[in-house]
Amino acid sequence: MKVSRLAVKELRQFARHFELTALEPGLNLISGANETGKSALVRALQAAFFERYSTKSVEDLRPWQDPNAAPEVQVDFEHGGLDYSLSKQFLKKPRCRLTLDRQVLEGDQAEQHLQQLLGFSYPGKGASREEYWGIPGLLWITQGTGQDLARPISHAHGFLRESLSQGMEDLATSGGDRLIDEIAAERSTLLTQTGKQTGELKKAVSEVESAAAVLAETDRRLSQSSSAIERLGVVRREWQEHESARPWEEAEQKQARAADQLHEVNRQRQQLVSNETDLNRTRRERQQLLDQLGQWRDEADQLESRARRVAELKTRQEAAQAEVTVLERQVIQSTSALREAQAVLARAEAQKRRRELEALLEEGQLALEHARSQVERAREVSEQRRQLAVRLTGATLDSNRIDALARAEEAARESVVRHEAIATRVRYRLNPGAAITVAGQALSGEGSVTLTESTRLRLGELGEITIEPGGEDLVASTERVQAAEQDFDRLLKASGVSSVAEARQRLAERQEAEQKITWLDQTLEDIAPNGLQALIAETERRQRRQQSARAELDELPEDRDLAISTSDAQDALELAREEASRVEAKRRATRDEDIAARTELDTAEREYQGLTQRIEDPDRRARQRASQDQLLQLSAGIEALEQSLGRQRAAIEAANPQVLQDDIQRYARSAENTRAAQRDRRTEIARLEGALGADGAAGLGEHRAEQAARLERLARRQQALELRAGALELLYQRLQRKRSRLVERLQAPLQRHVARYLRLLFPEAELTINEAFQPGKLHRNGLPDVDFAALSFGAREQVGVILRLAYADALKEAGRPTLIVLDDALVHSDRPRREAMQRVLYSAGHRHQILLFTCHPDNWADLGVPVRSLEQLKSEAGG
Amino acid sequence: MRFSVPRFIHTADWQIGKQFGQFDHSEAGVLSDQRINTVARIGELATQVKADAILVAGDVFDMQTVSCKTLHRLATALDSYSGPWVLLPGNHDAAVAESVWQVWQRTVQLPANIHLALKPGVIELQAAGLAVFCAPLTQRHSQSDLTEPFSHYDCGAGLVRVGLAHGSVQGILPDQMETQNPIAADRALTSGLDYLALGDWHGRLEVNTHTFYSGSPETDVFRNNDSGNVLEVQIDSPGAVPEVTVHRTGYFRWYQALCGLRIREDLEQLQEQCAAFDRLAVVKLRLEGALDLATYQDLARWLGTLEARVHALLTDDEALAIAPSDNDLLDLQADGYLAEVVTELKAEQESNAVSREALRLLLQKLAQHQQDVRA
Repeated sequence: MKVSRLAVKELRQFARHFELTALEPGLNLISGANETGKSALVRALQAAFFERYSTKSVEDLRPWQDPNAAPEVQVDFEHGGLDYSLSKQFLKKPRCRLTLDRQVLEGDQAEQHLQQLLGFSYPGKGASREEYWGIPGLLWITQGTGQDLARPISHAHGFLRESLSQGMEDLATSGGDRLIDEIAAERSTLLTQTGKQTGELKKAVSEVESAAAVLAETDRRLSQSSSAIERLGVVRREWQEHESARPWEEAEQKQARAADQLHEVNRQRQQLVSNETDLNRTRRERQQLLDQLGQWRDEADQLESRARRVAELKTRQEAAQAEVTVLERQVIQSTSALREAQAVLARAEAQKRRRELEALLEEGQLALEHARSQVERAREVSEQRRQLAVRLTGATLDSNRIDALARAEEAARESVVRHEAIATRVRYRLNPGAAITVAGQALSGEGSVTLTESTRLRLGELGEITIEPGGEDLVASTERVQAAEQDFDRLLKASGVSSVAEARQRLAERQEAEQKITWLDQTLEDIAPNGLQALIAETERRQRRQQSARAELDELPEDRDLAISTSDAQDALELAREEASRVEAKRRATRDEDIAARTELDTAEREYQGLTQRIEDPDRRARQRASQDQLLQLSAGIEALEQSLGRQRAAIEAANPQVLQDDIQRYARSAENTRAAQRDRRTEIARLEGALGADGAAGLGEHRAEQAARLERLARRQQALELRAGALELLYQRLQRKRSRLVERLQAPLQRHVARYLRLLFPEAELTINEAFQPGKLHRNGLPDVDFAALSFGAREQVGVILRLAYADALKEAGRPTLIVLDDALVHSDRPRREAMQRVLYSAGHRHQILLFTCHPDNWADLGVPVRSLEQLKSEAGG
Repeated sequence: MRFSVPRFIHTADWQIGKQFGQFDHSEAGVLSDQRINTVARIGELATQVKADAILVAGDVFDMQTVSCKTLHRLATALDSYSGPWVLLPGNHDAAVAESVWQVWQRTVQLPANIHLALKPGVIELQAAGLAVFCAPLTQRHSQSDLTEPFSHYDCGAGLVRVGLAHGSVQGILPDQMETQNPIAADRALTSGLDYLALGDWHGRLEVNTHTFYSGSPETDVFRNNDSGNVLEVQIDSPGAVPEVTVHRTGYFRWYQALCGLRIREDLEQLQEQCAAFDRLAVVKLRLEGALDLATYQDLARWLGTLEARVHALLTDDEALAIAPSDNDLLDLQADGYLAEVVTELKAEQESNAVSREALRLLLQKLAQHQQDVRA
């Protein structure tokens, strides 16, 4: 499609007729500053094609100063070898006319033709909007929208698809997408995205599983039931057989037979026991006989030994008797020796005491004398002390009192001095020989007198002068002096001294005497700690002890012949005592022996006599003979019994009572076992009948059939759903695949065109385009893949232009008209990119008409086409 | 002395308690219930034709344990005839140690006219003039011919000798390789029976002039073997050839058909064939061949109406292919890759059920789209 002329009138800036003519079939660069009507031209082009001539919604076309204007656009263009001329007038007397060749189309018909030709649609009502612009909307980039691709592509999608698939009619399909969507939706009710069962299908499968499980359980119970029935048949038959055969009865008969046999054996055993008792009794009798005979024989044997014993005892007794005599003599001797030893010991002890007393007396005398001297000394000290103590009695003086005396003396002296100080002093120097009397005292020579009271001075012949010492003070002072002196005197008298010095002397003397008394007291304490009286008593006690020791000594005679110590005498006595008791003990023992021997001898003699008599008894001899006969008889009886017993034992042994006992038990058990088994059968029958009765009552078999039927239905449903799911899956996958392939084929030329331009911008770059013709990822060498939407504004604008050019190429190949309008596009491109884009546009200009409006003509200096300035054109038109 | 000739009803294989899983729950329930209703119909028939006895040759019950309700209902159904019923255990309800019969006896107070032939031997029905030689199965399967002892049984003079057994007559039954529970084909002859009433084979079958399978009185499988009847047997005197009358007792009629569908006429023929089916029909159609889209859609619609008309319809169309014509595809606007997919699936459908289903789905959707578009 090539536009050769665009004319406007009464449209925005263009109140009057304006036209762009002689537009090139390739690139056209139209420049114009802002407000010069550049955009108005683009709008006019849009209005010519997209706005219905009859619409009222194009007020924006009207020049603002002319409310009655009728905006008009005319476009002459060529397409497919045909020349078209389109003319539209809006708002006022709206009309539309399209001439092509010799055909003229008016109004709606004209617009119908246009939209089919260019690939867009009209709105039902009102102003046209972007979404109706279709392919031209995509190829016409209005100011500042170059980077926005998604919307224009989606608006053009249907037209693009239709146009681009024209050459591939056999592959394109009308309702394919809708069909795929529907199938996908249905598929998703049965299968998940990944093809797993879900929804109704999943439920159907699980229902089948649970129904199968229920059926299996019922089958299991039925199979149990059926083995129970089989078992019941078997047990019932067995029970019947046993009930008629009654095997326990046979066992019971055998048991009875064995019991009879055992009874017989037991009888034999009792017989045996009685025979054994007889045998034992006979044996005992024989033993008694044997014992009796043996006893008799023993007595005969004893007689001789008894005689020997009597003789022996006699000898022993006589020996004992002789020894007793000897021992009695020895006893007498040992007793006298003992007495002698006792006497010697007494004498030795007396001598020992004597010497002890002598030593005691000597020692006692010395002590007594010392005690006496101590008494004497103590008496002396006591006397000294008494005298000192007497001296100390009387007035007591101590240092306090002396201090008081000294203070009183001082006070008296001080009061005198004070008194004298205030007294009236009379100095006198009398001519030799002259005398005066003062207060009665004659004075001569030179001196002074102190007057403290009214004093009369007798001046002899001259008369007398009375001097009155002045002032009250003197009287008081006089009184004070007197008081002090009285105090001092009183204290002296009380202390019994005449002066302070004497008092001090007396105190020193007293302290000395006290010290001495202390010393004497210590001396006395040493000599007589318990006092003098105690010391005297002690001395007297010693004296009495001396006297008693002396008395004792006097009673002990001196034994000068004795030369043996007491200890030796003691030892001798001890020996004598032992000898005496030993001899006495032996004598007593020997005597006892003698007595015992006599008794024993007597007994032995009597026994001997008795035994002799018994043995000689004729009756006893007769009994002895009878016993021997009886013995023979008993022995024969025993032999017979033993033989009989042997036979009986053998018989019992042969009958084997233990085995019989076992048999009885065995047969009894056997009978009981068979009976118990029969009882068990009865029980089992009842149990099985009970269980089966319950199953039967529950109608298990019918339930099973119902469950099986249910499973069959559910399985059928599952199968149907599976088949449906399978079919949906198959359709979905296959249609998807076909569709993808188709899209690939549709896009193949588009991709080729994109590649051609893209490489001019980014060497070796690739851009994926999805089935909705939208750009996907941009791949560039050495850079990570980037989504189109994530590219920079400038890059998006550049790629946007490139894609549009590529669509235009593809559309052109499909024989569709292409007109590319760029209104101030690519203003965000830097110089190198703009350079590249100029290359791109120049290349596209070979195939398409491109109207490039710009307010920056300098930017497009290298486009290789002349710039047509709107200002210039307008002025030309105006001129 | 009897003054009339003995006449009795021979029936078998009631299979009470049988369930039908191949049908929907409600349809199946009705079929199960009907088996008991049919027993009542047999009683009514016997009363009507003045039969002297009803002999049931085994498989009264379908299983050894049926619900109390079923037992009661069956007992009630037997009230429809006051003459003697002789019920023989078959392989499904063998007189095992603890069988459905004992449960029945315990659960229901059975009246005196119900004779349970639980043990081999002769049941003499003096009033009916019949001696019934019974060969009950006492276990599910027997390898020996249980009718063999019939030769040794005695019965009162003047009674008609009728054998009652359940099993397979050797070498007679079609497609039956059953060697269980064998019965000698000449048993009636060798044991001097006037009639041998057999059960086990669910269809009606005459083995010889004295030996019959009555078949099940109510059909329970799709097999065109003339089931759904009972036999009225009249024997003029001992040794006479029995006079056998067939009475239809089946309530539901079971049909099965295998239809090859290639062209529209085939469908029309099928429709004609099924025209008479009503509420009492149980139908199974196995469809083969291939149909163009329009005919296929017609078939589907027609099957819908048929299903509504009959008691139960089972359709097996796995072997039926859809062969949309080029015109079909054009109509459906199945162009581009859709057409390609249709073509692929069309080729695959013979060998792959999933492909066939997918094709159906796809075409159904396309047709739906077209309808939407037209609307």
